[in-house]
Amino acid sequence: MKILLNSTYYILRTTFPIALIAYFLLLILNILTEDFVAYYINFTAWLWVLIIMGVLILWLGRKTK
Amino acid sequence: MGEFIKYYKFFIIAVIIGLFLFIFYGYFAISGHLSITYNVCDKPTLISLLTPSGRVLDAEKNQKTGDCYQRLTGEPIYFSASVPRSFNEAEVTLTYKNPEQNIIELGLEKTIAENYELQPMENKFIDDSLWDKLTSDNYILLQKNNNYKSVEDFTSNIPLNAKIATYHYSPEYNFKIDNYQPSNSILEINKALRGKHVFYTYLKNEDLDFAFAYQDLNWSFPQENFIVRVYKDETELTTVFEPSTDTNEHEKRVQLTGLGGGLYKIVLDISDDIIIKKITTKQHLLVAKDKLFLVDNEAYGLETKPSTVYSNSDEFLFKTDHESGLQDVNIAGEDLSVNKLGGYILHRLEEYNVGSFKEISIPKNDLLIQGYGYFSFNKEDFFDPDYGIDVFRSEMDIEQYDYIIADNYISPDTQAGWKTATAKYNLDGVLGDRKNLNFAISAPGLADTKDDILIKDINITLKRDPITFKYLWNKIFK
Repeated sequence: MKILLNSTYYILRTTFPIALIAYFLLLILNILTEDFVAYYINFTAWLWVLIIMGVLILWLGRKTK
Repeated sequence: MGEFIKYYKFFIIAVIIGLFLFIFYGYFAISGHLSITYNVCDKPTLISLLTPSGRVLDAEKNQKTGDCYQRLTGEPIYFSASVPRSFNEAEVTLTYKNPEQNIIELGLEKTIAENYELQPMENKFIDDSLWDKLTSDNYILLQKNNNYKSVEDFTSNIPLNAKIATYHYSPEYNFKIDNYQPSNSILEINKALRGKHVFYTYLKNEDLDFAFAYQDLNWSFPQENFIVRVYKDETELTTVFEPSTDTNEHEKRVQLTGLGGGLYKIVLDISDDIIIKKITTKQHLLVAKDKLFLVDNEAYGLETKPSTVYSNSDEFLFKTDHESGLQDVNIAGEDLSVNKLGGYILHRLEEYNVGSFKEISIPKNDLLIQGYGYFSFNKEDFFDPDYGIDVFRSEMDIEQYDYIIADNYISPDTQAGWKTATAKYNLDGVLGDRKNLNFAISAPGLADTKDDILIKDINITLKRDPITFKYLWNKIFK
């Protein structure tokens, strides 16, 4: 169980900053391309995924200490 | 674990870079192809919402099938597509249900604002017709009696004495009046006409000679031009124009010599601020296409007097904007009361023969009359430049026709109860940089039918030249 929690924590901690940077880069690109990126990417869903990942990282961080 | 995280990080970054490349590839349309789809329940992005909201109801979802759609209760319905590049061609596919509406067409705004190039999406008359049906390439020929064995036989020798309705098809023929003789007399039309009119006349071994007496009302535009354009076979031969600033009466003459025989179009390209008070011409055949705006009425400072005009249209729209224009008109023996201001009043004759000659008596003028055909001021001036060939309309009495010929029409496909129909457009002539495409869905009479049209998806596939090394080389170095 401990290994599973640890692995999940490290995967999320690795994914989160990349997903966060990509989110903002795509947001800027969306403004530059006059909403073209929004046709392919659901920014609202991406933001929710980021929030859930953030909460999980905080929770798993405490659990795995 | 450390090794796994390293590969995992590499994988995530690769996915993100791949995503950026995918968007880059789509944005610049490197393949020369971009396909965008909008389901009416999705958030609109590149394809806009359907408007106006009064004619398009909110999205509905069928709980059983999960289908999401919007109900169209009136027409026209508008939507637009914003694309990142300018493309050369567009294919628009609608997924819809249409229980009752006879004709659905899709228009693309071109050249000037509000001018839509309509393409057929569905024509139930053609799809459900029990007449003999011949097809060839994009042509469909329906014939009441089986007189032709192929579409080519028909198109190469169009029977000009038959009753023909055309649907997105322009028949090719040289209009000719056998035994035509020029007249030595002068034709004078002492009827005041307001605004733009399109006239047709016929010449043979004679000069084209018209004089227009006109007056500027200066109600809306203090400065404008009085413009007359003359065409033969859609080629502009001359444009005559005169600045119009005062409200005095003026005369402008249009004379062209050495013209070949045939049909000529004369367009009075003027605003509703200018009144034509008198037309004098050496031509003795003269008809106005689709519209007459007669204004011999006190509302224009003129004497109110009756008019009689002649037409081959089978239905008419009447409109007046002044109380002095409220009146009872008589169309081929049928009375019609023009009793409202500012709105069109439709009159379809109860009994008629398609294209037959009708007399219209107007006691007071100040009346805009529109129809599908030609108008003349005297019986003997009338001729039909279309040989009686009509453009197909949903209100037509189809049984009175012998042939219906359609071009560029492909019946819609049906899958799981939903129909899909596609319209193709060449984007040459679209206003601006062609990155904003405005469309209109036309379904004449939809507001009067019981069942609505349901729209589910709109797909637009756009095409242009792909970006290749050769293309880039030519762009940069040539």
